Amino acid sequence: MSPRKKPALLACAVLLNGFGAWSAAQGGEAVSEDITRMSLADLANVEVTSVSKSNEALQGASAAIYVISHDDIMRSGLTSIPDVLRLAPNLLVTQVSASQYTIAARGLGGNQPAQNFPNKLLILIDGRSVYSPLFSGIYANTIDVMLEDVERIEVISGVGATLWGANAMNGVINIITRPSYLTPGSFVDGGAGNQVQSLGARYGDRIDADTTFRVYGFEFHRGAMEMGDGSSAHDGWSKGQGGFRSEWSADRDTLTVQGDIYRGTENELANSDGLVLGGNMLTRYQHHGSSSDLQVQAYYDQTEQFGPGPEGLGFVVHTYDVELQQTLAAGRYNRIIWGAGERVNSYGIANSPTLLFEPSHHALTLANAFIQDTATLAKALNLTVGIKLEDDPWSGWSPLPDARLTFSVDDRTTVWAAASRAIRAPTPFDDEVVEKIGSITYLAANTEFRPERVTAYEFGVRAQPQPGISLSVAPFYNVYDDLRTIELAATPTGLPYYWGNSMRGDTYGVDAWADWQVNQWWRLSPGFSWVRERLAFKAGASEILGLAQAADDPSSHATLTSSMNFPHHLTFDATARYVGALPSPSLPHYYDLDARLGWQASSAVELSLSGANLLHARHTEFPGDEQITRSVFAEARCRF
Amino acid sequence: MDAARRNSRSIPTHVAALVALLWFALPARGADYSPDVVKAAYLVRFAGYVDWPERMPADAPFIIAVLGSPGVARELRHLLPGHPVNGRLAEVREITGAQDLAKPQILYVGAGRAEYLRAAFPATELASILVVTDEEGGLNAGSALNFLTIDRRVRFEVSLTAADRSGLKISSDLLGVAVRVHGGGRQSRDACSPFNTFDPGDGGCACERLPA
Repeated sequence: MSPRKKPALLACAVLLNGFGAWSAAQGGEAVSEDITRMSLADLANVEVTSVSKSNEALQGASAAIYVISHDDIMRSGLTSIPDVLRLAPNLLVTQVSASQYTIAARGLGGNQPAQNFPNKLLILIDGRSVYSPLFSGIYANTIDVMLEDVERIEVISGVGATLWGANAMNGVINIITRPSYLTPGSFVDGGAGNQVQSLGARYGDRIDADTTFRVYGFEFHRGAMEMGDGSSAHDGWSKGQGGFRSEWSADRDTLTVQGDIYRGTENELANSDGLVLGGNMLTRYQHHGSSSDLQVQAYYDQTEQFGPGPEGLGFVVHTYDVELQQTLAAGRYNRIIWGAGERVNSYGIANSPTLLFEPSHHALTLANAFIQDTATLAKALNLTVGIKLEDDPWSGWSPLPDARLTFSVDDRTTVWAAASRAIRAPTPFDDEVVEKIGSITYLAANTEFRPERVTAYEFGVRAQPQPGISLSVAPFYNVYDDLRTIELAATPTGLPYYWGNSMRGDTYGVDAWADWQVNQWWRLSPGFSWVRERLAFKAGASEILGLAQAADDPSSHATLTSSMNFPHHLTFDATARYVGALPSPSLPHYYDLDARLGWQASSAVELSLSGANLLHARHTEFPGDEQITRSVFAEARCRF
Repeated sequence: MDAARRNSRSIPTHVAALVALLWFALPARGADYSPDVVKAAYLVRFAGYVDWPERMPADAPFIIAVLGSPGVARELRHLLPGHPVNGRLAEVREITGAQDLAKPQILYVGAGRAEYLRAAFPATELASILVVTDEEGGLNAGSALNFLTIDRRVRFEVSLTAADRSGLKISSDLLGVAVRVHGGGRQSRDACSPFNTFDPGDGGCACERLPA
C-alpha cells in the first residue's frame, strides 16, 4: 500500500467507526422493545451471540478444560476431527501425512524416529475409548464423526481425573455428539476444493413420544501432501462412514443406542492401497433418581488397518467394554461417584518379516474400579478425593489417587488445585514386539516392562474480570518416572535391544487462554501453551538415542481465533497458529492461518468459502520431507 | 525472488486490509441478542402459559427470583418495569440460597447451579414455583423447564412430572415449542387455559395460537 494512501484510509476509518458506534447505540434501545413483543415461537428462532467460552457450568471444574463448541466447529471451515482439535490451545496437533496426525498435550509428544509415538492421551467418542490399545497412540484416521452432530469437544490437559479412564496421562479428549432428539430433520452438506472433496447427509426423526433417532453418512477424499521437490507424497485417502443414534427416554430413564461403520483407503505407494476399516455399537442406559444417578454402558468396537504392499503391517482389534457408574448424595455436603468396568481387547496382527508381535494373537483384559467423594467444606470450598484401581495386562493392579480443591473466590473467579497420579500401562508394542533386520533380531520383547508413571501437580485460575472477558490460566508441574527407553542386552553385541524404563524427569509449564468479546460483533480468543522438559537417564541406562527419544516438542505454541458477525448473515472467522521450533529432529518454528467466510443465504442454506494453511504455499509441521499445501474449500450446508 | 517475496507478503496484507475495511465500513450489528436477554424474555413469556395452583391477592406482585445469574437478573430489571405479567406488577429478586426464597412464582437457576438447587432446596420449598434451570441435564435437579442452547438459539425442554409435583399446569402451546417433553403427568395435552398475552394493550384474555 503506498504511503500516500494511509492517512486517507485512517481518516475514513475513524469517521466510519464513529458512525458505527453511534448506530450501535441507537440499536441498543431498540433491542429491549423488540424482544418483549416476541412470541414463544419467535424467541425460539432468535439467534444469540455465542455463549461465552467460560461456560458457567464448568466454573466449578477443577481441571484445565477447554471446550470446542458446536458453533466453533461450524464456523471454522475445518472438515475433520484432527483439524478441529487444533482449535484447542492446550493441544498440539501436527499433521504428519494426509491421514495421520500426532496429538499431544503438555509435552512428551513422542519422537517418531525413535519409535516413540505420542501415547499419553485418552480420547473418547461418546464414552467409547478410541486410542489404540496396541501402542497407546491415536490413529487419526479412525476418529471422524459427523461434525454437524457434535455437541462439543472437551479437551482436558493434565492428568485425567479418577473418572476418565486408562491412558489419561497428559490429557483427555472427550468428543460428545448430540442426542438424537436434538438433531431432527434433514441435513445435507457438500463441498469441494483443491485438497478436499466431501459429501454428507443426516436424517433425524421422532418415532413416538419417547423415541427419536438419526442416521447419517458421509464420505470424503483428501489429496496427497507434497514432497520437497514438488512431487506427490501419494498419501491421498478417502473414507466413507455411516451410522445411527437413537434415544428412548421416559421420565427418569434414557436408553441410547448408537453405532458407526467406516472404511477408508489410502494410496501410500503409487500402486497399492492401505486400508482402514471399523465399526462399533454402543448402548448406554441412564437413570436419574431423586438423589442418585446411575449409568451403565456397554460397547463393542472393531478396528482394522492394513498397510499397503506385502511388507505392510496389518491388524484387527476387537474391543468389548462394560462400565457402570453411580453418583449419589451422601448427606448434604458429600457427593460420591463410584464405578467399575471391564474391557477386553482381542487382537490379531499380521506379522511382517521386519516387525512382529509374539504372540500375534492375544486377548488383553483391563479392569478398573474407582470411588470419588466431593465434599463441600465451606460455602465456596470443595474438596474432591478419589482413587482408581486399574488392573492392566502385564502390570497388574495400580492405585491412582487424585485430590482436587476448588475455591470460588467470588461470583466470577474460581481457583483450583490438584494432585494426582496416572500411568500409561504397557501395551503389546512395549511387551511383545520384535523387530528384525534380515535374520538379526535387533529389538526384542520385554515382558518386564513397567508402566510409565506421572505424578501431576496442577493449579488454575478461571476468572471473568469484566463482562465480556473471561480467562483461564493453568500452570502445572509433572514428575515422570519409568519413561520408555532403548536398552542394551547383556550380550557382547548389545543386541537385541529391548524397551526399558530408564528415564525420569519433570516438566513444568502453563496452559492459558482467554475470550474477549471486543464488541457486539467481534470476538477474539487467544490461547497459549508453554512447557519446559527436564529429563534424565537413570543409573545403568544405555543412553542410546539420547534424551531426545522421549520427545521432540516445541517449547511453546499459540493460537488466536477471531470471530466476526456482519450484517446480511455474513460471518468471518480466522484462526492463526504458531508452533515453536522442534529440537531434535529439528524443524524451524512455523505459523499459519485458516479462515472462513460464511453466508446464511436463507434459513435452509448456508454457503461458505474457507481456506487452510493460507499464509504459505507449502510448509512442514513434522520433520521429514512431506509438506502441507495451501488449500481452499467451498461448501454448502442445507437444513430442512 | 523479489516477486515471490512480495507475493507471499501480499496475502496477509490484503486480508488485513479487507478486515479493516469491513470493521470500519459496516455498522455494528445491533440485532444480535445476548442469551441473557432472550432467557429473560422467555421467563416473562412462560408466565402466560402456566397455571399456578393458588390464587394470589390482586395487588400482590409477580415475583421472578434469580439464583446465580447477574446477567439474566439485569435483563429482567430492564424488561419488567412498565410491563405487567399476568395482570400484575412484576419484579425480580436476586437470591443466594434457600433462605432468601420467599415464595416467588418463577425461580430461574443460572448455569452451573442446578446441583446446588438439588442439594440445598428441599422439594417442599419449591412447591408452586416454576423452576427453570439452564444447563445440560438440568431437569435432573427437579426443575420443570430447562434452557438449552442449540445452534445459537435458546430453546428449552419440559418435565411435566416436575410440573405436576409442583402443582403447576403447563399449556400445551408451551409444550409445542419445547424441544423435548418428559413425562405424561396428569395434565391433558389438549387443555389450553385462557391467559393474558404479554402486550399490555390487550385487556382481555386470549389463547396464543402458534403457527402449525
